Order: sequence, then structure tokens, then C-alpha cells
Amino acid sequence: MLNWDETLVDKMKAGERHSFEQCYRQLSPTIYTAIIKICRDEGNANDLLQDTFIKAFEKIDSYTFQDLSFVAWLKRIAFNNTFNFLKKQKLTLVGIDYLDDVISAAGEIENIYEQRNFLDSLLKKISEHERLIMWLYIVEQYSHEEIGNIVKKSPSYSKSVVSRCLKKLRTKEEVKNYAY
Amino acid sequence: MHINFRHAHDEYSQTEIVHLQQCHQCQEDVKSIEQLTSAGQVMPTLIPDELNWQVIQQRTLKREQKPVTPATKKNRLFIYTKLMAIAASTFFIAVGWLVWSNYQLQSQLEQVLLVNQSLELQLFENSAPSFHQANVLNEVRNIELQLINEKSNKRKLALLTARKQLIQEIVNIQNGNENAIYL
Repeated sequence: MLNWDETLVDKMKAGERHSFEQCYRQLSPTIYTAIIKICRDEGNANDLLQDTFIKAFEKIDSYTFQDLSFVAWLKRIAFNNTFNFLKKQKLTLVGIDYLDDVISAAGEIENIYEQRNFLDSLLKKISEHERLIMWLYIVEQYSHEEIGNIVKKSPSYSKSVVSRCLKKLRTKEEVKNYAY
Repeated sequence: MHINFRHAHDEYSQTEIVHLQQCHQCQEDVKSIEQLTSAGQVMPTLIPDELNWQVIQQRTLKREQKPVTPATKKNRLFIYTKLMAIAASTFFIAVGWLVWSNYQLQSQLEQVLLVNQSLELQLFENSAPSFHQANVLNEVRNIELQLINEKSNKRKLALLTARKQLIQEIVNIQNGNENAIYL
């Protein structure tokens, strides 16, 4: 659980240099984890993490605790950055290790692994764009309306992506049951 | 028609519960969402490379060191644009004024020349000038000599005006003074 002290924001607004570092140390793991799980590329994740914090520090004066907490505000910046990055890249490649997983001989070990890393397993099999939506829906618990705002689409688009991803997951289970 | 999936902590309506009890696919999906949510909750966070903080520090420091803030930059740009616009308008006004005054001077010159020519024609009608007329004519010659060497349009205009007056004087003498001494 994140122990975030909202008064740190006032210190950052006052220009206390140390508070910026404190903010980074506390929140960077959460932001980095989200970004790398969506991008699945260390270099891009590092760039996006840097951009997120730089943008947040620059715009710290515009942040007010009205609608969002600072963490939520920072995450919003991170997800918007990530979405824009994905849009630029236009990479919608589906994980290529899908079949490898299915035909793996070490079925039992893989099963245990997948139970523990159920989410990871799903994220591996979907496109980056779908990963962003699933991450927002499952981990960040965003509503479809909020997701729609970030990916600049309608809430029904978000609903259909979630449904499609769940279907992929279901199909994979069915194939596995058939294979073993 | 399947139900709309909710977050794990959200409650389903009575109708949705009835549907869930009957639909195997929705049961699977709700189960998957619950599993995914719990997996997400226990997912370990990853620590980013220390280099990231150094880059952030460097990049924010670089921006802080710039003496001009974006707001001031905007203002300065606005002032520059305004100054440039003023300078450009002044330049065009000056050029316009010069062209106009030159044109005016040129038309004045033409007018004076025409008057001079008509006066000369009147003068030639009288073949034997008086003594006074001869003196005035001498002055006219001097002015003509000055006119040949003169470069400035303004000065030319002044000389031509003087010439016009002198010739006018000769014509007046010729018309009014019948008793003048003729050379």
C-alpha cells in the first residue's frame, strides 16, 4: 500500500528541491511498473517514466486537490503519455509466445506459474493498446468512461476491448484443456 | 445478451445476478476478472533504474536555468512582433511620403515650365526689348545658367519660379510701358 503524504505537493509547489526527489522515490516504482507492464520494453518505459515526472514537476502549480489525488493525477499523466506513445508507434502486435505457452511440455509448472501470474499471462497475449485498457480496468479500477477519456474513444469501445481480452483468455484455456 | 462486467468490488443488479446464474460464459468472465484483479493487487512493483532520476534532475535543472520563463518569452515575442509591425508601417509611410512629395515637386516643375514657355512665347513677340527688359533678361540668363548646374529639384523649382517672375515682369513692361527706352 502506498503511503503518500499529500503535503509533499505543497513543498514541491514551494520549490523545495528535496521534496521532488522524495516524490520520485515514493511514486516511481508504481508508475514504472504500470508503464513497463503495458509497453513491455525497458527503454521505452524509462523514457516514459522520465517524461511523466518531468511533465508533472513542470505543471505542479496547476495541480489542485479537487477532483484527483496527486497520485491519481500523476498516473493520469503517465497513462496519457503511454497512450500517445503507443499511438505514435502504432504497434498492435500480439505476443508471439502464445503458441509456445500452449504446446509447452512443462504443463504443470506452467500452470502454477500462470496462476500466480494470471495477469502477466494475459498481458503477454494481447496488444499494447489492449494492455493499456486492461491495465486501467483491472489494476487501476478505472471505469469505462474514464478509460474512454484516456484512449479518446467511447466507453463501449473500452467495454468491447475488455470483453475481447477475456474471450482470448477463455479461448486459451479451452485450447489448453484440449491439448492436455 | 451478456451482462456488462463490473469491477470486482462492484455489486451486480438482481437481473444481472439471475443472468449470471444461468450463463456459463459470463460466470467464466466474472471469475476471470476477479482472478485478474487479485493478481493485479499482489503484483510486485518494479524499481526503475537510478539513472532515470539523474536524467530527470538534469532535464529539470536545464529548464530552470533558462532565464526566460515561457510567459516572459511569450511577452517578449509579442513585443518584438509589435515593434516589427511598427517599424514596417513607419518604413512604408516614409517611402509613400517620399514618392508622393517627389511626384508633387515634379508636377510643380512641369507647371512652372509651362508658364515659363508661354511667357517666353509672349516675349518673342516683341523683337526689340527696352533697356529695363534687357537687364531683366540678363537676370533670366543668369538663372538659366544656374538651372543648368542645379541638381536639387527644390532649388530648380525656386529658380524656375524666379525666372517666371522675371519673364512676367518683362511681359508686363512690354504691355504697360510704351515709353521705355529701346536698345
